[in-house]
Amino acid sequence: MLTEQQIHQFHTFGFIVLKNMLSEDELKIVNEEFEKGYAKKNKSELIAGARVQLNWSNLEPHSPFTASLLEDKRFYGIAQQLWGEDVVGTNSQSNHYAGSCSPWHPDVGPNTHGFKFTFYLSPVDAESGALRVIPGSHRPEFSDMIRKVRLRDNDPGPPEDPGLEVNEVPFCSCDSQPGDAVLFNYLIWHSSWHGSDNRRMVSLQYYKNPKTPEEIEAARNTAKHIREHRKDKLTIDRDYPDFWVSNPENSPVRACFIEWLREWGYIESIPA
Amino acid sequence: MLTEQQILQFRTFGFILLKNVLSEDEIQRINTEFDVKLASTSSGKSDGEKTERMSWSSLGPDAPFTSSLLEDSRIVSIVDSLYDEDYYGISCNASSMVGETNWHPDADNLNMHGLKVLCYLQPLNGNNGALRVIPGSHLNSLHDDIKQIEMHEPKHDGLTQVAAVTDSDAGLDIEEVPACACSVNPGDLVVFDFRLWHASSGGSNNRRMISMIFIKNAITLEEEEAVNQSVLKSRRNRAIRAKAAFGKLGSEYHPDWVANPDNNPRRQYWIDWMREKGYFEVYDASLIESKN
Repeated sequence: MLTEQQIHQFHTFGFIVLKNMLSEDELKIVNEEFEKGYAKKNKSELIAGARVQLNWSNLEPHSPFTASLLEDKRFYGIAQQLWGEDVVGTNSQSNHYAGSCSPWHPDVGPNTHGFKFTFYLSPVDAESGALRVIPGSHRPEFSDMIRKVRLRDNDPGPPEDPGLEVNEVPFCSCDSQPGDAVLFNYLIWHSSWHGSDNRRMVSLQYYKNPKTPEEIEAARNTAKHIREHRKDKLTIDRDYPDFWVSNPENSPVRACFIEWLREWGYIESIPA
Repeated sequence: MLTEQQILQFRTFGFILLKNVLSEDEIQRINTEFDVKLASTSSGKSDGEKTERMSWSSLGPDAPFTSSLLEDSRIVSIVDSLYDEDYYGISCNASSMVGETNWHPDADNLNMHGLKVLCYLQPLNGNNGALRVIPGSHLNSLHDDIKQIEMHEPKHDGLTQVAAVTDSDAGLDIEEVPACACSVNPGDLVVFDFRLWHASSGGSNNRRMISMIFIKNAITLEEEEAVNQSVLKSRRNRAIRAKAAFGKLGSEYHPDWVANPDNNPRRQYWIDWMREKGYFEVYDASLIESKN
């Protein structure tokens, strides 16, 4: 669980790095399950341009341990600390990157609140593909200002002033060792630079239960977008596997997640 | 001059790094002037035993080249771009830095518009004393929220304003605060907003830095009040540093510089304003003790 200071650090800067969240034995299982998922994955389904990213859900029978982390109190408990008791675990995904950089971006638009745990399965630092973040850039006013700065990979300018290269933007590097977790707010601007062509990352994703009219509208829009795109294998949004939705062990935590995901349209309702 | 994009970067992140502005020969001239003055400080006279920051004004005949930087077209054109040519250049200081510098903004009042232009005389990175900054922390809401981040007991020089302090494990060391390190080579300039949170960590002794300060002309009453507060704080800090370096207080401004022998209209504009603000008065030593 997080201390009050860690919670304040997360909300102030939009991210925090937690050391040694997974044991060596757990990492071994995660790596084995990653290998199984990677073997099954169609290698032509690359997404996200420069990242050369393959992405798949861990909520499948081949990765029961990695799937279970979404409901693990170590992570779900932290999610509840950050976004309330009714926070929702929405996904556990694996990602393989073969591209050397990821351009600067936030993951979602305004009023969508939540965060990811990301676990890099190899040691990474600023020059080898670690997550780079702009501290505090999850704040709307700061984010809006960054959007106006010309970035070469997002909105290049004329040849004489094409804008900032990924590595020219002020950043803080989230260096990590296997077992460490980088938690970051979906709204924070992030990137990576000089990653290897075999960079592996597992993420656990949580959403705040929307309360305000703005949050509710944003949640509806996000769900609509995912519904429209989830059959497209070339996007990051994945359908929920029947296996996971069937909740064979009757996990009450998962049942709450599924109920929320159905209510908001992330999972198709079962016809009466 | 800065490009529109560079101006936008400064306003967004609160700082900008400019590469290769000064030449190797110019850095050598600055170092030569630096050596002479450093030798006259209490540190320079103590066979290197004294490990305290030494800082002095470079405005005057002792350091003619360094002094000229405050009015150098390459420097003032940067400030022209950012402050629409309406500002005051108030200082050009040399510092022999020692150890770490705690997290602090130079101005906590967000109505205070000013900037520093820094020129480090050695290559520096995040591990050996480069300026660390928190991008965007010159603006709220980030600026104020950082005050609640608990820091371990700082090695404090009595001048800087710091974040909350704790001796618990939850506190952060300087290098644990999320930040961007401004890696530099001699000749590069770092330009940063007074309100930006900054620090340094891992620096060796006698880290050499030239800092030039520019204050934007206040437009509103709130800005005027912020400038007045800043002037008072600045005068006190400079008096403390003068006492540490030379064992006595005195006017920071050499009469030759104030006399403006070349009748530089820009300098005269600055001098007239500074005189009005009390910059040329000798600081009352008793005020240093009473406020510590």
